[in-house]
Amino acid sequence: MKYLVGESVSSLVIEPEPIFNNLIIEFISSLSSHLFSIDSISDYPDVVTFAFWCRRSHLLKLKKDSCTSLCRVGRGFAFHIAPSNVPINFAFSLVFSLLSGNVNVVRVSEKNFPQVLIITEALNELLSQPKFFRLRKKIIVVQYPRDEEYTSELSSRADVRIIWGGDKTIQAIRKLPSPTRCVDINFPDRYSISVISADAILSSSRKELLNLYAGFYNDIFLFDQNACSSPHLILWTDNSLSLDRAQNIFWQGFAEFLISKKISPNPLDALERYTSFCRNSILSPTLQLTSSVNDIIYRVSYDQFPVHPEMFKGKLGYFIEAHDPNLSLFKSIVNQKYQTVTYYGVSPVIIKDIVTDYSLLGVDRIVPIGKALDIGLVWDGLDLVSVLSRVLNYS
Amino acid sequence: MTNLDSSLGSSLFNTDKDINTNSFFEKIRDLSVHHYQNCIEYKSIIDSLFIDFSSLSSLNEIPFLPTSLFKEFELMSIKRSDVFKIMTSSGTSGQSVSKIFLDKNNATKQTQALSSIMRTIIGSKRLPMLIIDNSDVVKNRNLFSARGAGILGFSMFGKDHTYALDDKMKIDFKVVNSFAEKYHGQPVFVFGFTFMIWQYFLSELESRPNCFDFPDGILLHGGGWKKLQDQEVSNDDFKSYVRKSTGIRKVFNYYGMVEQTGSLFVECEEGYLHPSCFSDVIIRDPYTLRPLSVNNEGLIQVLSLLPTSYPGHSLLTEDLGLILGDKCCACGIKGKYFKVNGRVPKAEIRGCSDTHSVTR
Repeated sequence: MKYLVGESVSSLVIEPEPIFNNLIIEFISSLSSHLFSIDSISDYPDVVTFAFWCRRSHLLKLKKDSCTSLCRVGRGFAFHIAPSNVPINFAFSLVFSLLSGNVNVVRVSEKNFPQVLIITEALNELLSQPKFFRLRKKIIVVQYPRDEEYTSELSSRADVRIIWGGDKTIQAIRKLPSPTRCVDINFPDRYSISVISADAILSSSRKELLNLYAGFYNDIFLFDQNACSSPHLILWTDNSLSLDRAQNIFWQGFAEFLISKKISPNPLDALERYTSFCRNSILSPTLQLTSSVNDIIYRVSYDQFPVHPEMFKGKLGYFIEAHDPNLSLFKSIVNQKYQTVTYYGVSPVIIKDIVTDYSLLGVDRIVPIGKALDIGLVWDGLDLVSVLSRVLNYS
Repeated sequence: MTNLDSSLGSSLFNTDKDINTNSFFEKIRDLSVHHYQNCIEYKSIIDSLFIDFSSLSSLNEIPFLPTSLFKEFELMSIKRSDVFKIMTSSGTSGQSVSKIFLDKNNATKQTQALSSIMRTIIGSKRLPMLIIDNSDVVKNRNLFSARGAGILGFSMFGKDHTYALDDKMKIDFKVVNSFAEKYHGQPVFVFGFTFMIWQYFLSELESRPNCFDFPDGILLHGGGWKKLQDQEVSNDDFKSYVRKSTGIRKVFNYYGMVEQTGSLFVECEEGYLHPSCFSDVIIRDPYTLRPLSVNNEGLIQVLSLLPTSYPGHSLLTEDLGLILGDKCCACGIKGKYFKVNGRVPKAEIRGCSDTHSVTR
């Protein structure tokens, strides 16, 4: 086991504290300023986003929102299994749990992501300052090979397990015994969509559209359309008269945005996208390539829309589209897999009301296009501080 | 359906495109229609792409399948009961295996095509054959792999098959020396995989120049340069090492894959690869998959007239290469000539769906 932060898992002292403890807020906000002082930080937009999230004023606002009259205390020892493909999530996972009052061991991927190194170095630097000595016992970041032994040893002591991963990973870890009071917080594979109003596209100014493209780009391409909250399906509202024109404006504009940004994809991206198209053609009959926009975006549609479009995901700029004027298709397809709905020109309240009025089993977030990746204390349908802590009830 | 016999009659590598392109295009298009009619998966893809074969007018428009699709799906254009042989390759990803389904007819075609290509390299007689590998790759069923299949495939062009390496992958000097003595002054056929030859043969012989003497030897090797590129060994380096330690001057690299067995691309004296009358190559922009013109590096699409029992006649590979000219190579062979620059490095796919897994 390699320690990136901390010295020994066995020396952990499990001393949970009340949520939003002042020392923790001090520590996380110092982490924020420390990260911003690093020259190369601008090379890593995800680290910038994290550092921005961790700034003092934001933490104090969160504290105000979270601290009700209830007394909340950390559950104890939180064991995190961070995803191996979104480097920054380990850091969010850690600070969410620190704010909730827990002692933490975070297992990060063995791939040495620069983001992980930058943040763990910053953590070590801060933890060497006397005022933060007390936190050394609460923060351990480790790497170890995919090995059940360590995972099961840590699981056997955990009060909370935070498992980021695909369905298989989660199933495998859940099989490992943990104390009966242990709470598992799973972040499994999810599916996300966008709802766009055709009329809104037609009435948008050029500037508004450029903002939309930039937001749509971030939602999708920062993680190769592979993040749980990146949309794969685009539902278009409004009547069919405006549909074609709005779609053409949007996709052509977005393709031109991509080209003008000179964003260089990986050399296998187009092949991967095409391969996902071929795979889906075989697996889901009636799939049609609507158009290959400038050969960098695939728009596909179905003659007969599949019941489970989430089973036919594309990659790296591959979108299923459907015309859904009354969101009736939306009502019929949403299930537990659906996480985020991003929207443009559609009222989030309408979408929220559909989810509640029609008792849909999925959709946890409804946010404007551009905000798909904005992670926070409420994530994946969970109020994380409340699940990562326990209520100490007294009367 | 394609007529191999007529192809065999024409000059094999002089694929003068001005004259022959049309007939090659038409054959490939007909082959596409054949697969469309006989392979349901291929049909699904073509239908999703809205391609109407009768409206196609050039080779660039022929649809292609990604090679990795043969790892995910069992693609064939024959009845399962007609499967005569299944060829597999592990590729480089290690985990999944490509499966290529051959019926008797397709297997025969592969052999015929390979024979005619080999005739241009070693002549029409079987030659004494030295294989730079160990015999376990072929003998041991558990180890049997694309490597073993390749050796067996080429073995039919040789006789007195002699393996140069022992089971520890060390050069068996006794065996090689006695082979050299026995066939002194005669042409011999030396075969192996590029990396194996480099790692276990040439590297070992580096300190012993003129160790072997095969003045009339012909070395054919293939399998990819990736590992040699990592060690910064060029084709020229490779050839000069071969010459130094074995005296072999005729060294031919080939580019081929299990998905298109039989229609190899073979290197000429100038060091460039040439399609034969069975095959062609198109370079595509990695970012848009549009065809690229001469001298632009991109993904290599390979076309072959041989695959009839599986839809592998037009494939987009993960290899990078470029066409250096399309009229006439300095070696005298007419038509396109190209170079393979290696495989595209697999990028780490970002996202949160595939993460740490626990082995059970």
